[in-house]
Amino acid sequence: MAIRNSKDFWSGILFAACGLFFIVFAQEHPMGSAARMGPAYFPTLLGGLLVLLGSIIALIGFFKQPPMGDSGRIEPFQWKLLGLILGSVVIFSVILEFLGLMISTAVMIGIAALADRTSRLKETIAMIVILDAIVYVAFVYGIGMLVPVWPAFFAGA
Amino acid sequence: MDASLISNLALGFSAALSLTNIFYCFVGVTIGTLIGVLPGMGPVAAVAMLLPTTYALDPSAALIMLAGIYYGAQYGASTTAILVNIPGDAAAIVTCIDGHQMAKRGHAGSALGISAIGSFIAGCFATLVIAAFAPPLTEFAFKFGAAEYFSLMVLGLVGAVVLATGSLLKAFCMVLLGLLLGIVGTDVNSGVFRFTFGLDELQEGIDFVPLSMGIYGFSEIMKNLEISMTRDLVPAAMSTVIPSREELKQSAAPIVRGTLIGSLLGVLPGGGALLSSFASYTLEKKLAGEKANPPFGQGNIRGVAGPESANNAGSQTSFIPMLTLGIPSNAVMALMIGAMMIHDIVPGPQVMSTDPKLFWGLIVSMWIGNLILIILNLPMIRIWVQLLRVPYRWLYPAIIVFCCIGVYSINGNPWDIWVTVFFGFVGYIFYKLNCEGAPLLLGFVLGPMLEENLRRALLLSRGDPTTFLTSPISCGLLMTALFMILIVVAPAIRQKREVAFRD
Repeated sequence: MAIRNSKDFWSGILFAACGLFFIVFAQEHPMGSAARMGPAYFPTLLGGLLVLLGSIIALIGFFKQPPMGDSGRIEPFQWKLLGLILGSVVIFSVILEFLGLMISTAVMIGIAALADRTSRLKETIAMIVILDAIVYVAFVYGIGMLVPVWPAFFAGA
Repeated sequence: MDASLISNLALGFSAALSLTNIFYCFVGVTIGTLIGVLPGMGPVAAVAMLLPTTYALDPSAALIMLAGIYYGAQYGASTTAILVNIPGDAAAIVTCIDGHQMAKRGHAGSALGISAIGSFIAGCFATLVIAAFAPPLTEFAFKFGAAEYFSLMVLGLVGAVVLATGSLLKAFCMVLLGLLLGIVGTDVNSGVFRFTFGLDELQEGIDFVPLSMGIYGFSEIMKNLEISMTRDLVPAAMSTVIPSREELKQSAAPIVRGTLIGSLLGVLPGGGALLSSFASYTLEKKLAGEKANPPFGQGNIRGVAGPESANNAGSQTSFIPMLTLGIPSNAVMALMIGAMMIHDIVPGPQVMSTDPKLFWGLIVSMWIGNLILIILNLPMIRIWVQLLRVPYRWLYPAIIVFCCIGVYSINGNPWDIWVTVFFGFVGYIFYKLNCEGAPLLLGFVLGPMLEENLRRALLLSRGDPTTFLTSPISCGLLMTALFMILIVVAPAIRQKREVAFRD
């Protein structure tokens, strides 16, 4: 038998799994009693509720048709989009302290811009110039953020 | 109106009218309007994104600016609702219905004008409501013990769940997940590290800003890129934004009713702008009946005047529970609480007595902000309209840049950026699964407080859970929460709720 409403089914599974996760790792600590709660008490309680409700959602999702106008199917993840947007940010965080704010920002914009199919190279370059200027004025000059602005090997020059 | 109200307001004016505070109020509403008008960003994302920029300010300036961003963004959201039929925010959904029809018939100017005037009147009234009701409510809140606080928070969370748009059960799960994420870090009672997995960065808990920015900022970007935004612009020639005498006459009563509804509903847990605007629209539609000319849904000005006043009043009075009890009633208030904690202000009833200047200054600044908004918007509306044409592909890189650097600037540590990325991904999964983010955010903010009060209440009662029912206040709050759930679960009303949210 097929899952009727996979959005609900998988949300339920996800919630239950999260609940279980918190219950399991809460057990590293003492439970205590209701009157003297240990660090594990509250998370176990909440985790238990989450497992319970999550299972109910999953069961309902398995057996019940989704409401009209909703297929209940999970739209496919756009991994390329996710990779480009989140990847650009991760790369930024990694190169920031070596290459400095200006270059890292430029790299981030360059990668992120690829996520939109309509983006054009000229516009991207213009954006890099403008945003770098704004970032410099607002964060370096404005609030005096403590961060390398230019690459370390530039500093001596 | 008693003397203390006047003296309190006077104190507020003296604080809010300082040059720096006026400046930050102005900056807040301007940026807020800008972001509200720009495609793809609502008030929550706006406030989340700009939270880090307020770190360096003093607490009152920071809160005044954030509040300004909030109602400025809401204002901008209404402009896009009317002109391009895209609600920048859920509360502006009903404005789309008649506002955009008015624009199509060439009355865009009047629709924008009446929404500005209605919002301003509502804003003035709501400011007075806050000033009048905050002190007695604060007084009342001091009587609260741990049990009462616990029940109040439960009520607040249930309210948020009940008003979430999707499935009730899913929203409950989101709250629970938020609560659990909220208690990650050092346990205040025993000092042990919970769910830190040996990571030093997690000992202080998950930071509020990266979490909200990931869930609201980043996942929003990916969502928008996915549905590739197409906007049907109305290049309506706007002759004037001043409504005619006839239109003003028609709108007067809806504005008054909307203001009252909004002021009332805004205070409710889980309430605020969204509920208020829906309620006002429904009421105006019922009152106008079949004879309405033009019919509702085809550009009746009352369908703009009422909800626009209501959502502004509601968004302002939703500050009441936040300021007096320290309980956020919606996602933006959760962010405001986060901002207070960043500035070492413990939210709760004591804020009014320990920081009277901040408290009253913030309240009065809302009135000033509304005044600035009307000055900013009516004459300059054409400039804002131009902004509607900015393509999204220019915007999202800018959003990413500001989010990233903003998050990094908090601690100067890439860790916060990684947390943002993580929650951006999590937010994307929730979007795919039709789970709403707001309940999670509320749970996250309330997690530690809820645990603390539960512990204390049960310690005092020696583990007897009936303590929550024997205190009359606590019992009443829990009964209200139960009642709210029952209302939504009852089938007849559930159908109506679904219809209301689908419109």
